Amino acid sequence: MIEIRNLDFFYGENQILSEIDLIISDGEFVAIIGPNGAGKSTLLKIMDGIVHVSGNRVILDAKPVHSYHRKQMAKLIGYLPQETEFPFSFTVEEVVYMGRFPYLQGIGYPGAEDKKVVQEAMQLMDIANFTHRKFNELSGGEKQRVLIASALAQQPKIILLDEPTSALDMHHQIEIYHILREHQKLNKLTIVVVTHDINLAAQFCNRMILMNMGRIVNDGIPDEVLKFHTIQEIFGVKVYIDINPMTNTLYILPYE
Amino acid sequence: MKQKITFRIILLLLIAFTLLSLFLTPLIGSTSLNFVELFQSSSARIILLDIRLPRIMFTFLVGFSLALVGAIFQALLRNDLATPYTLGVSSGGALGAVIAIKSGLSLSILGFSNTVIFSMLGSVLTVSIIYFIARTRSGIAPVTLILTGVTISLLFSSFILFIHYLADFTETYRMIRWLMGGLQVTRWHYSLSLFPFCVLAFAYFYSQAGALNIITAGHETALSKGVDVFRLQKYAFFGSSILIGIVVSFAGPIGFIGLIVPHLMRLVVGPDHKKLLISAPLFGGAFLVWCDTLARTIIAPAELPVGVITAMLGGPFFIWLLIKRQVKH
Repeated sequence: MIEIRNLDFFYGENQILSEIDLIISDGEFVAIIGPNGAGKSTLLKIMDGIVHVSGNRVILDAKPVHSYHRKQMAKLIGYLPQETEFPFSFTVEEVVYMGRFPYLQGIGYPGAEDKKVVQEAMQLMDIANFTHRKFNELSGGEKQRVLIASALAQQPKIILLDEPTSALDMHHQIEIYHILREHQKLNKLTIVVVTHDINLAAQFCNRMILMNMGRIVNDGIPDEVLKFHTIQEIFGVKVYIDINPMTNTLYILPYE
Repeated sequence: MKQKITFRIILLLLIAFTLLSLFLTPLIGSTSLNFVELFQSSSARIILLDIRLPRIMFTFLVGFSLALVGAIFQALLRNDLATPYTLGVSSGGALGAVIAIKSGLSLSILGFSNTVIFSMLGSVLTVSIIYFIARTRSGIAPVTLILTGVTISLLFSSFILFIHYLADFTETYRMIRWLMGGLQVTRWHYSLSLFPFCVLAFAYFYSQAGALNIITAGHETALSKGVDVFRLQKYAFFGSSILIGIVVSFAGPIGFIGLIVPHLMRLVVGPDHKKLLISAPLFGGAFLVWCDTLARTIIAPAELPVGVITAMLGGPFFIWLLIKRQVKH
């Protein structure tokens, strides 16, 4: 469980987040949406302790985030930044094995358990057939699947993803969300996704948080959050909202 | 599995090459030696044991350190053009050496000349300044570090030029000669002083191989995977800078080894630091031993500065690498 209490956050003089109060319970699938610069990515980094905040305002499983060692943290939370680039050409397998880092002892050679977890993660993300290819030579969708596998290899209870599908085609977008939801149901994984794809989020998530200018504007099930007037006001565009009869979830179309 | 076996074969070949280099090169030189002579003549034994072997061991350790630190800096700075000198350690060392030569002090501590001592002070001072400028609360930004290093290097180069201008011919010659890098040591105490630092640095970095792999993906990914980024950066930058400071103060700024050897070994064994941090130092050491043998013999009985050889071999090789990479993209 992640609990954020009355958090204000500044980068220098600029206030990025204001009065954030938030509880994310175990097993939730949460989407954070909002315009660019709303503070979504920063909020995600704060949850993982990558961006440090003073005081005990961010609590993970009853302990302040900054009281965890990085390795302990990595066993609880997996995080995927917007972009991951390796300057050197690691293989797919090597990248997935990086997820086992918090579990390795001594000089860090993986044991039987590590191998098993890595194999499972690669199978789940459907990348087991190209483990020896170079990560840098993969397509965007393949890269994203490898990175998610690497995060899953950490066996985290919570996984935070920053725009995981923004570079992917429709097929891979649906696939990523589908796999995440399966994993959430199967392993009680908690998932928090920052995304601009409101339609996909509405389809797969059971909770949506709408942010604007560093504040949480709306928080609830997608049907409650995606109100016509709020969306038009915050995103500054006219939108058409309806229910997709195939999924019975809301969808939004912006128009001029 | 297949990869593991391949790596073992490569490692065996590397070790064989290293041993071969260390045993073979002492026999080559302006006076060539063979095994029969070694048993018969005492002067041959003196040449071998007191002149060639100490120099070759020292050369190996210098090459070992340069390649090791080159690999580390390329990982930490996430930049495959980084060298052990990117942070300006060598320019600090050079400034120290040049000041020592100009001042003409004949001071000697623990058997080390004033040039060595001044250049070591210069290196340590430079690293401290750069570290102080580049550190922030959330870690060290590679970009700031590189920029600071380059700026400090330029600044120190201008000081060096100024001192050059003030110096007379003999002093200028000695300064230029120092800047070319050289391995003309004839006693064991250089190797013996460098050895423990090499061992310590290697042990520490090897134990951090997994973390170094992850840190190449950037500090956010590294943190999320459990790497204590700030601590690793701090120890690694400082540790390797001290090692390089010592190397530079003993041997001058020998170029290209720290840039090219990690590159070459990454092509052979891949970027995994568990493999790279063994292969690169071994090959760096052996490679520099051969460069130095060339430097000793090519215009014998005179000697070329080894830095000239590494640059002449390294430069074209690196251009070839860059062209190859361009073609690939």
